Amino acid sequence: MRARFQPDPAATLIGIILLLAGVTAARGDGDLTELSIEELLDVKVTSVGKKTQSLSDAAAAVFVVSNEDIRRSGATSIPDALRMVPGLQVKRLDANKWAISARGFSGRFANKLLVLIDGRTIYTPSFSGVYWENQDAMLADVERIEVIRGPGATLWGANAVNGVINIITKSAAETQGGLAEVGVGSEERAIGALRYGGKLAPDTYARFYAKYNERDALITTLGEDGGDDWDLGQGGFRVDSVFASGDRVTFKGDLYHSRLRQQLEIPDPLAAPTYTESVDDRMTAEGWNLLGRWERALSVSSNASFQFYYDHSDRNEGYVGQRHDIIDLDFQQRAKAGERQDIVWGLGYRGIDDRFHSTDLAGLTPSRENRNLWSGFLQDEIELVSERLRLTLGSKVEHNEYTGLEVQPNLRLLWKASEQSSLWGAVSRAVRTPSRAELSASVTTRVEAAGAPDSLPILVSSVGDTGYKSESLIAYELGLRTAPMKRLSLDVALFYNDYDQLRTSGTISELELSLADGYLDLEMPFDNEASGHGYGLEVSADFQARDWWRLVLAYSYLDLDLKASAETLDTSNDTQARTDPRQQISFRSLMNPRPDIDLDLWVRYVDQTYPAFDVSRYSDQLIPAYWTLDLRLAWRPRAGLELAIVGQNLLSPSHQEGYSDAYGNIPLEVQRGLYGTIRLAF
Amino acid sequence: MSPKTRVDRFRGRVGVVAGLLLAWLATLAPALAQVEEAELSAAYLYNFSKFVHWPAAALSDSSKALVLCVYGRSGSAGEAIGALDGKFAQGHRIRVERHARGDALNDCQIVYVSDSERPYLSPLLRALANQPALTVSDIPGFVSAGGMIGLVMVDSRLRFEINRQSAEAAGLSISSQVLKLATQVVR
Repeated sequence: MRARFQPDPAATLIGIILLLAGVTAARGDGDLTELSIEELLDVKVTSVGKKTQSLSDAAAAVFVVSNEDIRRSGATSIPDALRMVPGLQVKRLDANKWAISARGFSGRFANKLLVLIDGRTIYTPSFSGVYWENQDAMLADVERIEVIRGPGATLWGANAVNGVINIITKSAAETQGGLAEVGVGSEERAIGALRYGGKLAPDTYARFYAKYNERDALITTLGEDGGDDWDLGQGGFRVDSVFASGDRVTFKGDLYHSRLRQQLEIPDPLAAPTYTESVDDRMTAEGWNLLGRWERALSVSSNASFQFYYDHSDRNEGYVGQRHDIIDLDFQQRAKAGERQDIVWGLGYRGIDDRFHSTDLAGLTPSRENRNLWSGFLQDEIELVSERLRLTLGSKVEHNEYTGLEVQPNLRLLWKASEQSSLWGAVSRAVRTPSRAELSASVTTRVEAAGAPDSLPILVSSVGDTGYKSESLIAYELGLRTAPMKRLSLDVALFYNDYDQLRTSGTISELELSLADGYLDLEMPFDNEASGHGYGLEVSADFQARDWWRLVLAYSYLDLDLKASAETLDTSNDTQARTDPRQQISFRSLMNPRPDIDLDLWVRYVDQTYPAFDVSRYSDQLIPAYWTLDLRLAWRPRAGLELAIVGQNLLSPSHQEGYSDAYGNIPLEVQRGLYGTIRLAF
Repeated sequence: MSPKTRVDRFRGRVGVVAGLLLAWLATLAPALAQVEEAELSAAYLYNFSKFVHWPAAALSDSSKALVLCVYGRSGSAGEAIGALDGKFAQGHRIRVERHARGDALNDCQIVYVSDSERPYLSPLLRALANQPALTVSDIPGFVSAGGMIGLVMVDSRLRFEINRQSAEAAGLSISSQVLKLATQVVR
């Protein structure tokens, strides 16, 4: 074992608590109303952002990553910024692949999370998961990332089984003028971003941006180049306008192109004795989207919005090519009914058109499909006791062409015990509707070597099944949000998730074995033979120790227990249950020793995990727990100019976080990295 | 004692010692006054109440209270503004009232519009247009939407913008002392 700095997580937690206790020193508190306006103009505000205030009213486990949090984390991508969120599992699998999930089930093809950028759903309908490497934004223009753990199905829709990540960019009015950023580093090979915003007419603002990132490959356990370097170029625009009538209109679009490399181990029944073939795959991914939104206030207590978007994506890799065109229309209205009720309802339509280029390894039948999704929701917020007790009742009703009608109700109760503390609880049902692959794909997974000298090797494939049903969840949640002191806010969430009809592949009665040329072909259809439960605890604490020093702690505990019925040969649910870290810690210290200097530190701990697959020689290989540290030092010699140096993963030369799945069964390690940037606002 | 447990103990000590060290460092730093945006907003509102002149029909003799209405879901701002209740401005006792979305605002001299009302701002301002009530809010773009005083955050400090045209149309006059301190005045 390599010598690493690995303090015990429990002891560190105690250390952090002592630290929080230590900084709770005397505080001066004068009466501001005694001051004149001139004096008030000079008072500095020290409280945590107001933007989160309305969320602190929500009866759900919400965490907000602000623009400042992203900048000071040193993260250059959205996935890396999400590592500070309690209850999220983030793993970098290879240089261009991430596994992100909330409350478990993480993996390259994690499918129980809904991710949106400015109201546009960004999961790929063929597998209901997200290709994170192609989801980027000009990070300086991201206003905030709201992360809701737990089912958010009522307002957001299917796929929001374990959580919702909502990435919100600033309006064009807030990003006026120019911003240029260039950087270079050991892992972050090249960083370049440019944005310019201007005023087109009174109350009409626009911005455009372009960015480029080139990233180095990870390394293998032998210290060799992982062969997974990549780049991404992206550009876009946004126009925001407020009409004289008060109507608000937003129009935006993005365009990207990415070149990626990956190392595959392809199963081949004729290539004894390893039965695998190595492929150096160079692939491309590209896409564009356009979105329009129109909001109008109908009265002092009612407003309506209409949103439209079109999203095109095209991804070609060694084993499959896929193209998606999505049209989405969404209407929402919010209205107050009587004294105590606030009603939101909406209707949505999504049309998906896909085309696949199949190979011997992976294919979909038919190769082209067009399908429609209709949905509606109704939610009523009832103020049972004014400003004290609020009940939220709601349900989403969705119709898809695979499983028909799906109903996803929820019930939430919020009790504001005082201005500083609130307690909430929720019971909700959510479903994860089948992806296209689960109904109509055929994917070669592995070769079972011949048992006896005269028998043939078996090529095993997972195949779609038209009888495949939705996975379902009933979630019970409890949370507490409190600000025991003005400078400290504390958020605790507890959950118990009861899963049913989880995916398995290979029910014994449905196996099909056939003789091919030199090997046997075994087809294992997808089925819903697993069930189980998960429970956990998430804590976050935000402490403004001094005006110039903020400390943020996030702690997550997760335990999943899944079982497949005796009917199935599939053991991947047992594997799945141990693929998420049981404990995680993120501790950030954001310091301004001088107003023009940032000194930021970020320590993370992630427990040991196992691969998300149960095939290949690595399936039983433990991925060790790791501690890591990022440091950032920034200096603003004058207004509008910032120089920053960021060191990432400093505690060890490299560490592994996961496996990239889908033929990417080679262990790769994330390396220590250093980069510098110059940011200029003009 | 096996070497493993010794390592574990060492690890534990490192965590605790590091925490104690940081805690001690923290106590060395001087405690500074802390100010929340909500308290600052309330302090501004109190000042504005002293420097705005209402028409006699709206605020006649000093026996009448100056009614400050907090409109919408107010959160911590509501609490801070609530503390102004009972204070005196221009000889009038201030009375703070809370109003939910959709409530009538006929008897308010000052209306503080909470952030929760952002989506309904234009019909609200239309409904208040010719009433002698000073509208104040920290909703972005409040002044350009027709509100009278907008609180804006600039470099961690709270500043304000004034729409003098809206105020005058409602029969209010804002003291020049206040006008000259605004970051922007819409005429």
